[in-house]
Amino acid sequence: MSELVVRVYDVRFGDAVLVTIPDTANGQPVDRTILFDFGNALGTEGGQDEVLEPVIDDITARLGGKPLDLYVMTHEHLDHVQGLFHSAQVFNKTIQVQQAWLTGSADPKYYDNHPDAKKQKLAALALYDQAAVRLSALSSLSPFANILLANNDTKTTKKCVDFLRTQLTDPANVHYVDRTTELSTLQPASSAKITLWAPEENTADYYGRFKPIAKGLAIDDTFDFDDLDGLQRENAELPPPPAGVDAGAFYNLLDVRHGASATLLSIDQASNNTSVVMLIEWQGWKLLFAGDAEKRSWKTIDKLGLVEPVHFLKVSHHGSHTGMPPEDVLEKLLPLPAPGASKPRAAVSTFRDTYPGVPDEDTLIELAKRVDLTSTRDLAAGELCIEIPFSSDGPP
Amino acid sequence: MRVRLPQMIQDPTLLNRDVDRLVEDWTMLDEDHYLDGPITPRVAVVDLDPNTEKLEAGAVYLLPTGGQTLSRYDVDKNDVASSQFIQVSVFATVYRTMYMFEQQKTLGRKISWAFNGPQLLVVPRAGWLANAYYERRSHSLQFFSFMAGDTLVHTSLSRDIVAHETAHALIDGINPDLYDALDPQSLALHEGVADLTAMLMAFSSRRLRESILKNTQGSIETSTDFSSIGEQFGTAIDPTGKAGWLRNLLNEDVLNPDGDPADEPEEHELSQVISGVLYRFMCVLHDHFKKDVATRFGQTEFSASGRALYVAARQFERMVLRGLDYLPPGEVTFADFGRAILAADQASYDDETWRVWLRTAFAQRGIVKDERDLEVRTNFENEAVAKADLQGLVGSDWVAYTFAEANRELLGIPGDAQFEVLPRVVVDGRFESPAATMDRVTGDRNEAAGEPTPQAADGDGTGFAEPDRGGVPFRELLFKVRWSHVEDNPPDLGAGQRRVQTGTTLVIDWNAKRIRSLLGPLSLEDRSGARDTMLRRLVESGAIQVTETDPAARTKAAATGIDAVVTDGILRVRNTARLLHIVKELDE
Repeated sequence: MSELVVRVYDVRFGDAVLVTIPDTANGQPVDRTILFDFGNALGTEGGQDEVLEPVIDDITARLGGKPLDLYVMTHEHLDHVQGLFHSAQVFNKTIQVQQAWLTGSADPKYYDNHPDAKKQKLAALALYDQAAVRLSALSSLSPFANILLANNDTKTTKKCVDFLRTQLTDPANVHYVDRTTELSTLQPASSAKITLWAPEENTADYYGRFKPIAKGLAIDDTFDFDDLDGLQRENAELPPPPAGVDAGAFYNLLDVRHGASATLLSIDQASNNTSVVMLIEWQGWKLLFAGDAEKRSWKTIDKLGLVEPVHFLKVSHHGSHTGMPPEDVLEKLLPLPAPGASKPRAAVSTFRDTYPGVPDEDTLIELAKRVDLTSTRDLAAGELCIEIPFSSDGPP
Repeated sequence: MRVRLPQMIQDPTLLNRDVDRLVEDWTMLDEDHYLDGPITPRVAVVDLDPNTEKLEAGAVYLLPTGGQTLSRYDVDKNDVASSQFIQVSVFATVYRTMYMFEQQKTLGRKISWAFNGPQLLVVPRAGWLANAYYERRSHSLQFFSFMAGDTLVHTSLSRDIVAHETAHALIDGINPDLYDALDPQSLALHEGVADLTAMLMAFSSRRLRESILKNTQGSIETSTDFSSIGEQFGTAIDPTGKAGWLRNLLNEDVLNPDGDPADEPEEHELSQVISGVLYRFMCVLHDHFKKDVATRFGQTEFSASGRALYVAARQFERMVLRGLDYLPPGEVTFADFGRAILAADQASYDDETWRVWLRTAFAQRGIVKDERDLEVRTNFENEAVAKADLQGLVGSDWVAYTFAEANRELLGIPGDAQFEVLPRVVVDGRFESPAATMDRVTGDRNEAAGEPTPQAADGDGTGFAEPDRGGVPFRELLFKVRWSHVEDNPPDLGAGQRRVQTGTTLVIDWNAKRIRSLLGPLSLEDRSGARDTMLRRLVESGAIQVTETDPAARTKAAATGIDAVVTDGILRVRNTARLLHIVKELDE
């Protein structure tokens, strides 16, 4: 049997990870393929879409005319979802897909069954609108705010997600998954076992901070997504200082508070935490693909007792500090190796200086103590992806 | 024009009490003017909607009508969840804390803020976190809100938290170097005094005082209502008590006087040592005055406990808070604070009773090895001071610099050190002995717990709002010089050397033209190990990243707001006090 290969593509600021799993069908060796996300972040230096075409070409070539066995959309952020839509629209290039797994809360019916999560999601969306208006009033928008706006713009993202759920494959083969989803009939490779560590079925867990905001915005059980347009948009102008307050001090206060950017960051983190976190076990190897899960999700995963040492980690959230598991969880996942012992592998898809602190250099240094870490930003010119093989002999 | 302000004296969401008993009117002294908000020249409530950053309308200021003598704000004090009530209540607590520091028998002046501006901005609903902090950079106090289960908690309605954060702003105005200190005892002092301020604010509420003393048979040692700072808030955040807000002042925490300073605990835990010994001092004062009042009025000690608490609190304020003025600039320790308290008191009062108690208690807590370390010299003649042009020292930087340069030895300035003379401060205060305080409150029968408590003429009877009465006026000049001390730095922490600040505080009796007190740090060089430990903790926790870039030139500040910059091979750390105000996010 040949090797399982993980390929982490350089898509600048985004994710595209292809896993090829040796398997057998009717006694014959076959390759099973899983693609985790495909996209990059528009609106910033990291979002140059010409890098997507060579990636779709490479994936197509590797499929060798066969359909992809599984496409996984970890979560609904532009840097993870817009690649296939863009390839179809701009390059007129598509791939065939046997089945697609989309994070559970992307199900159009999801919020009908989860009223608490719905209220909190509505609050987050309302805040996004207000923050967008507020930020658009600023004379210069930082790249940070720009990418947060682009990544969390549900109107843009929705087109991409709709493409994934309707155009990739027969809609009957699109599954909205969470940790509790029964996967026994959906496993893409008989030689491997796939389990999900996240997300939780009820995403209210990740949107908890929006609970009081929903209350403050009077979002109740009768409120629906269509009603968002009816919410009064806040005045785009900066408010004048109240009488008796020094204008310089007042605007300094607004500037230091970074309220709108902080709001966007909260929305961004909540959505990241809805990421599909998938463990692939093959020939004794344990490979973990963490999407953009942030600390909140890691804590929940740990609380459920799911964390165990792995041989490979697709580093979460492009190497940010908030994407790292808390220290105690990290020790369970990637224990500090004894001196001289071989380390597990890890790969991070990242692009320098797009988000402040992403990647976080200290986080990468800490990871490097525990794993043999490879980053897409270290690829030589002309190299499309990091390629990490795992032998059928299993781990040493 | 005086104004009546309703103030929340305990958070209704966290205590099972009637709202009526949780709101108290407070009658402020005059400020120059009042505007909607509330806004005065020194404090402005800026109520930004936490979701939209839209500015909420401020509470409307109303002049008195129909024979009333007090102005007020248009607020329904039965609707404590309304934005207007929150605005006015937080404003009242901020001002009440300021007045506690500023009254003539304490610091005797209006405190200038540490930032460059006359107005402290107060944001009562700053966002959605279980947090509250003073931030010098934005000239503001920011009070956040959070959900405790299904209950919405506004930290701006917590008397403890508002008084605590206001105290940080005031301490920063009095001794700004504590904000940048690397010695954990300096930061712990910031925190400990802020906690004690919250305690004093609890004492200042007549309703709370009476209610608690009734339940404790007149003792402040048998209930945590006074001694636990932020207890209800801390419990709401985290029932396990790990969130950092649960601090009980009623403790027996000690330092090891023979231990290595590098092994001292972090600043929050450390703060309990200084606040613990001073809370014990408060208990001793209270017990003493209970007996005194009971004898004087033929009452039981229980009946005397309310008035005694008032007298004890005044004594405590004038001793402990005045110590802040006498502290030297730069890195200081608990022992330095003890010496400053003792110097301020000794310079004004002959009675040794409480100073003896404090020296013994500080030694017993391991803050100093020997009580004699706390001995200070006060009220002594000096030729240079006798000849000094005090008005010139106050008004002219050049005169002040010339005086310091000519008196380097007196001020302890190393021969090769470049120094800075800090803005001079004139204190117009009043001495008042405890006996005089007792006499002054003799007729104020509503101070006694357990007795009927009719409203006093000014409507609150707390004693804090009243104009300073009695006592003997005095004037003193605070003359402070500061310089850098360069010491070795662990090379793996960014540079081989680091710069810390130190200095001397000279207090001059304006009328007698003699030295009231002259204090520098007791053990600056011996504390370098403690500073090493603190720095290592900051670096290893990621709270600071050592750079060679001036923070002003960076496109973004460090996430914690703490700066660590290497210039010419020497490290300088600033804004370490930001550590005191950061509580974990609930939903990170």
